Amino acid sequence: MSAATRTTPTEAEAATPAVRLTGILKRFPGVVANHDVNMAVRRGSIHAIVGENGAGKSTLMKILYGMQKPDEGTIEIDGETVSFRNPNDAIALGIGMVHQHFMLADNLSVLENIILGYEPRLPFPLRFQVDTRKARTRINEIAATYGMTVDPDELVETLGVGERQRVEILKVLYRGATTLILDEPTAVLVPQEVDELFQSLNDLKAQGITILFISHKLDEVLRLADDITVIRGGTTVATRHPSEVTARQLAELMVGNELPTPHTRESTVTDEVELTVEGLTCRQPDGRPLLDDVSLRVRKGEIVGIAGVEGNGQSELIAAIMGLLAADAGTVRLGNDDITGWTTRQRREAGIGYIPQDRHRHGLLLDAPLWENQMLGHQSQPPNANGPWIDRDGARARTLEVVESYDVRTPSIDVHAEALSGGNQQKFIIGREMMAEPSAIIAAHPTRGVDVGAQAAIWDQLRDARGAGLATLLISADLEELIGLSDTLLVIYKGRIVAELDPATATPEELGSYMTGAGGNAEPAAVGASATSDTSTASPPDPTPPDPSPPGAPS
Amino acid sequence: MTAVDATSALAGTRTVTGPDRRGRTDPLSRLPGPARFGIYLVVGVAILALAREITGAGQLTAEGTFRSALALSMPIALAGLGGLWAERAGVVNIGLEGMMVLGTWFGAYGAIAYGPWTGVLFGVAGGAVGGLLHAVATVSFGVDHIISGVAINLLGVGLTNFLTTTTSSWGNQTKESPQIPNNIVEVDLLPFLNSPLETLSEQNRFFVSDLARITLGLTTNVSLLVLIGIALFPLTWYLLWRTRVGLRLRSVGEDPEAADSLGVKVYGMKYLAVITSGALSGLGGVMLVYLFAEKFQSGQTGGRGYIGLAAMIFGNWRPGGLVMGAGLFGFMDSMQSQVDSTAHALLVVAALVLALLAARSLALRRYTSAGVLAVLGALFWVWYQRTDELPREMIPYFPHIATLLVLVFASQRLRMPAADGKIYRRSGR
Amino acid sequence: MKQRLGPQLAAPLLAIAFALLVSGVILLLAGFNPGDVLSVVLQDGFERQRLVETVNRAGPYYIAGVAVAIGFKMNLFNIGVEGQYKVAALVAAWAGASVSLPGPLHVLFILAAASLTGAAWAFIPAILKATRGVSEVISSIMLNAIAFGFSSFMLTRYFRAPRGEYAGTVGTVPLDDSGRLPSLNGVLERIGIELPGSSRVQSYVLVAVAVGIIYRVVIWRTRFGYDLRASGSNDGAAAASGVDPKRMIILAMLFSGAVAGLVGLNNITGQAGRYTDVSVVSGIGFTGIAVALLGRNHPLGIAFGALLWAFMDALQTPLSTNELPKQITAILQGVTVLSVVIAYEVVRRVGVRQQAAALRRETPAGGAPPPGPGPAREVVPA
Repeated sequence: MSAATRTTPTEAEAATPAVRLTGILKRFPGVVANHDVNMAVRRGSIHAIVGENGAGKSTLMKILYGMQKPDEGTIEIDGETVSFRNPNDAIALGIGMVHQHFMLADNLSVLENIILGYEPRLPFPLRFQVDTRKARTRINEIAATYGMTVDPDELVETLGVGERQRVEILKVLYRGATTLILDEPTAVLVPQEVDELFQSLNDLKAQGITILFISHKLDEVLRLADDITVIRGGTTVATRHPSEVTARQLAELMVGNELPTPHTRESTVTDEVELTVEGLTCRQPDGRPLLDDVSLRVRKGEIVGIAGVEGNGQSELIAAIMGLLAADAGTVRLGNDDITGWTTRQRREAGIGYIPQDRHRHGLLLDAPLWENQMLGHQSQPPNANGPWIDRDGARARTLEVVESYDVRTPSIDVHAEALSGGNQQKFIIGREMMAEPSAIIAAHPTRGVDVGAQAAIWDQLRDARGAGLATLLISADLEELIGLSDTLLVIYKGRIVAELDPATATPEELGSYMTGAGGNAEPAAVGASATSDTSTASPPDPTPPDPSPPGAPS
Repeated sequence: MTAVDATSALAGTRTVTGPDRRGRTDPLSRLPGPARFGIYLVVGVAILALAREITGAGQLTAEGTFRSALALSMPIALAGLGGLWAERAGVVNIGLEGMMVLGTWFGAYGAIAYGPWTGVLFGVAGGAVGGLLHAVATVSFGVDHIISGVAINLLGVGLTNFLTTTTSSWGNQTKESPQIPNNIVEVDLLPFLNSPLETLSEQNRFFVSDLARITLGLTTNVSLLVLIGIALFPLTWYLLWRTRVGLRLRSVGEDPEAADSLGVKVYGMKYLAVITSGALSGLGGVMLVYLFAEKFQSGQTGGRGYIGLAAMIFGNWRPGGLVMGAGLFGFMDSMQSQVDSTAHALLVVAALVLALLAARSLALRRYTSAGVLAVLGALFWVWYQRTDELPREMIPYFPHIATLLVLVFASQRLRMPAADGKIYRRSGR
Repeated sequence: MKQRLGPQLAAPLLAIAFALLVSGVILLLAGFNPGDVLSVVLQDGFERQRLVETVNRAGPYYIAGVAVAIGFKMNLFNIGVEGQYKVAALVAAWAGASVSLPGPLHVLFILAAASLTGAAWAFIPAILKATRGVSEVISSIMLNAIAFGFSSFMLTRYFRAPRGEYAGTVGTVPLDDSGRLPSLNGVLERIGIELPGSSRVQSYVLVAVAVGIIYRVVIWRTRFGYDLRASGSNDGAAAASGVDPKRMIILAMLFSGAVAGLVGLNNITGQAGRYTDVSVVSGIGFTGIAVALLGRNHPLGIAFGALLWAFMDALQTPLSTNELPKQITAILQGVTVLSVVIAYEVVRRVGVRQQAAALRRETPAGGAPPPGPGPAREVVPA
């Protein structure tokens, strides 16, 4: 808005903020998603909220949009304390949300998607009919005001991602929103589209619209935002002006001042390479790479951790190693065998264990008893199978062993998997994979959504297996887990491995900058002014192996 | 950065697709619907006329053929329209058959007890009750759509058979009702054209005379009931594609979560759609009673509910396409009662249609499909040359085979509502 | 599984009670005394002759139910049983009449021919689904209709018995006696069960029993069955465990079709001995769907469903001799199916919630940790 309101947003600010959150706390069974959240958003500003995956950004925004109810704390809109029962309440107060996953019906036109639920009608005799002309005029008006061109009569399915996002924004504006929440809007965009989006957002700001911008891309945030609030571990840790802070400082705030120190322990890493990935490339049908020339080696007794913001190719890497996604180029080897052309079953029989990132979708048969779940992934091998037959006794005995050895709390092995708590389900999966004595294991987010007790147990189990000579590829969004367990730490960004770090010496800012794509910029001082950060977004991530100890890193 | 749903790669679920344009686009697809429809009609008549010239099978374009084809296609078309309403709101309705059965019985009952027009209302209401049942099961209780549909089909047959035996006013018949007092008016749609058309139709001019005969068949002595049925197609189009209820109803079939997030009453829309669906198939049942047997007969629907579903898929979930699909089924049905030489001439029709499609593919530079179509067309021609008759038993099933082929070869172009058949439950289970 | 047996049994029983209630109300509305009907059911329904009829009818229902259940076990809807058994019965009757083999071998040959034909017919929707993504429901509905045309075409053109030799209905040449299954009357009499004069217990019911055993063994005791059930339960997890989803679709449909092929043989290997338009009853495919639903795809449950359905069918004769509307049984059947599926769904929803809640209480490890400085994780509520 005007320069008069350009003061540091503090609790005691005189001008009424568009949105103020005070002491927000949100619990889910087993976890606290948000606590002690305090922040204020100035009217007519772009306010960025940055934080790692799992820091609690999305839950916070869902609270603000009425999709979740906070357990404690207050929300104020324009100075009034409000309580939302559902998103409609939020919409009525001028809050609109653009979800990361678009809420658009493909087979309807742009116009239809925008006006749905809010359709203008023709006068009396044709009250039932939609006044398409009026709708079109209004959409064109809004589009012109905020500089967002769309063809209202185009089918949404023919639109590209950037255009879809524009439709989503228009949909919200059409309903008269004055505060926009954008959840990771740039995650799905290519650089040119990002530029267009930022232009639009600046236009919106100029018209007095308040924008809440969730992101973990620091250079983008520095370039766009008026204020930046950092969230870590579910709580707001700092609010900064972009002019006062560098990308590296932000990264440090996001990751925390101190990284957990790896447990002092003897290295069990051997010289024998068990799992090798070379030049692995997978493309989308349109040719855009999901995985771009990924190479890595996991030795026996080694845990190789893959750090990275989600959606940078981790899922595809896992799927390609498991044989669920065909590689366009490159090879996967297990021991001395080239397994690139093998089926998933062949790979599993050859000894690849798998702890999937989403245990409900890829790890369990929820409506089947535990002992049958124990067989999953090992159903073709003893003790679960005997030729073409299932060996029930063998499978049940093995299940009892799993339950016993891996401390799965369950009344019996006949109980359905869906009845177990998340932590016990996960311990069960890990037990089942470990008991099959794999030679290599893919562990994706092994402690996601489990309670603290189960987390510690799972970490111990992974360490023990490592000690026994297992080659582990660990994919996680939890830095504590990655640094605490890994012998080698790789960072994946935009489908490429951009850094190899030693977890014992890696610094938070180093990790943060590689993960957020800020790693290409060696000079911390250069970030800050928007002009220079522009160049850093445009440049691709540094393809050369990064300097293992950048200046300023404690060694 | 590319759009990657973290789990889609693993589960093979729907990913965001960009513009997908293979080959050239059909210039016809840019024309407005009615114009395209008109072109299809003209081409269709021309093909029939040509086939008649080649084979000498005059019945191919005879007035009677088209009169009976129109009547035969009505029940199928209405069942299909019912299917279209339900599926546009995301509910698969295999219970069309059962709802149609309810329509036949209640239609006959109402007609006998209170007169023909009341009978129509009874039949429509009977079907609607079937639809309501389907909505309760699928929408409120989340029962699998197909299972509920199958159950309704069983129930429809059971209930009507029971009612037939227990309705004392119908006498001791256990399988059918007495004759209904059918005094639904039959009208000529274009009375002023009748005599010129008749003159034309008696001459033997290529295309013109054929067109005259077909027009006469479709416009003279048309039951008012058929007229109402026909009117429901543009009405459906208007309601679903031009009104706000229609938009909301379709949005529920495409993406119920998005619709819900915008305040659309998802369950209400589904109820509305499925009840309408039942009412329309009930009307289809009424047509069967009124236009053919003029009484209720057990088993008289003969799977037409399923055929309606097929016609709807054939027509790509659109009213215009459905009309063409239902017309095809009706035409084939009417061919069954023709002499062998007429049925045999259908092979020439098929060969000509395939040749035309091949030419179209060639023009659009889709060479593979042009080749396949040309070879198929040639095969039909050889079949015609080598034989004197068509397997009569198979004639009524040609449209089924055609629908199957459409499913196989044009499945990418078929566009069923994205959330069709999915059980939607509001979040927070 | 054990702890849920209670509600699992309660659901169908409640649904049947509800169906009885609805049927009673309908009877009252139609001017009949439900008590009369009930007394006929209780007195005449359990007569030996009725029970024989029940068993005879239940055989094909059971086989059809198993065929449908195989599909259900992996989320495939084989609505095409109808067409599969129609074509299979014709081909098997023709093939059986074309060969002469010694007794048991001849019967086995006929059964094998029917199975293979059923599987072949089911292969069409299977391959269309696996390669082109065509819904098996839609293609099967088309194929059901086509099967009727195809079988009547094949019968009149190629498989028909020479005119004149077998006067009357159009059909295949009758099977030799070696291709017929004997009645079980002799066996039953030997173990002391007297049957009324005209009744005949068809040994085809033994084929149904065999199918049930095969179903039970293949689905629950083999790796193939495990893969199939895993795919039905969670296709994502099954794929990650090494099951090829497309291969599984085809195999499951072939298995289902092979079983479906046997549905129509009851009369062909029995009294009729040949395929005619009336010797193979239509509609059993849809009954099979109902029976599989009633029995929750469980081998014994399906048997219960098939017997119940057949029992209701068999009631029709005593009801009509007592001048009561026999068609009430069809209503009873229809309402039963609909209320059973609704009841199962309700019980499932309630059961899942209760079981999860009970276990959460038992294992406090899942409880929420106190809010504090520990790492809080974001949870996406599923």
